[in-house]
Amino acid sequence: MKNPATRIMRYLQNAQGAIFIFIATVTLNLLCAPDAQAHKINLFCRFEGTTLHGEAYFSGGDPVKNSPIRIYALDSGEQLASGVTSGEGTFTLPLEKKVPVKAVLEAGHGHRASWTWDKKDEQAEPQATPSVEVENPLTAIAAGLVVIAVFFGILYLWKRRDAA
Amino acid sequence: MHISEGVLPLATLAGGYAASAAGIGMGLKKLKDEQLVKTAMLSSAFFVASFIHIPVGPTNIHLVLNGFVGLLTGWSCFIAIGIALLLQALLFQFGGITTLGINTLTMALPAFISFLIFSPLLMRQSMPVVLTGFLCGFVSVFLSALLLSLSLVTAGESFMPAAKLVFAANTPLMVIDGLITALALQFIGKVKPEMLTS
Repeated sequence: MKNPATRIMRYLQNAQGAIFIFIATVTLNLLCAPDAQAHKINLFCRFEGTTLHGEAYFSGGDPVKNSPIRIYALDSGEQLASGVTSGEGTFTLPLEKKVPVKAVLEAGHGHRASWTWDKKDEQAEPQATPSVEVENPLTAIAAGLVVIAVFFGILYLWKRRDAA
Repeated sequence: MHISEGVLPLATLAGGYAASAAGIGMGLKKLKDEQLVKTAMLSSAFFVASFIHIPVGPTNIHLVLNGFVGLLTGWSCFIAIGIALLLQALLFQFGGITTLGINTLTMALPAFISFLIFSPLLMRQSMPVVLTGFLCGFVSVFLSALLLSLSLVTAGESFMPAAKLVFAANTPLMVIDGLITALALQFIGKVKPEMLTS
């Protein structure tokens, strides 16, 4: 009768190849860490008269090209304008009047960034407080990996109990 | 390659969940103790692979590796891919919870089909491992793109252009995923050949 430690060692040996591949994948991913950071999107907008100008780029500096941008009225939620960012990640959208707005950029892969302006009287300034969805990809990736390990650990215990 | 929330009709979403649940059920039944660590590792690899981005034209695509996962896990690929997609949805807003079922199906069914086609080829060693790997990666991404496009079409005729675009955008990925799968399999064939035939 094998003891549990021996059994676990055997399972680990069984998965040796997978472990190698996994480490290789993670290493490759870490090498591409700036790309992982590329999920972070910065969106800056400013009013010139009633025209809203803006630019969007990934945290690596690459422009967010050809992505749909929509402008909503902050109070009613009504869509005031929409467009697509240029090859330089910029856009210019004329509005009927200068009202508090929220600009929402869809950058694909489920990522979006938004920019809100709610000052009625003040001169709108370029805001440096973009909202981003993915704050720290590496931490979240690590968290995800831990959850996967825990999930399969529980699955193992569950299957053992089933077998007993 | 995934569908965001709020696009597909309820029937497609429900169908995706039902089919994925059936796949996961079979996976749980077929999953042997000694395959757990391997499945967990491949699940992690699948989870991480999605963060490796490759710029293609105006957009960028990420590795999928579902054929690789399917080939080495068989039925259990539904579990491996399901949990990875759930975490991607929760942590990174890739896809979403309502679309989790259809997204899992889109990834795992082609993975499983690749397993059915290519696992016997690996066993018999009738083809070089590298070629098997390439075809496995290529076919699974091809089928995934096809399923994704088809599910988009269920949302209405107006999604037809989007469906075609999604398919076209994923064409380079089929080649890239094929190459990576080929390299990975060749590597495993060197360090742990019995893993390919178990």
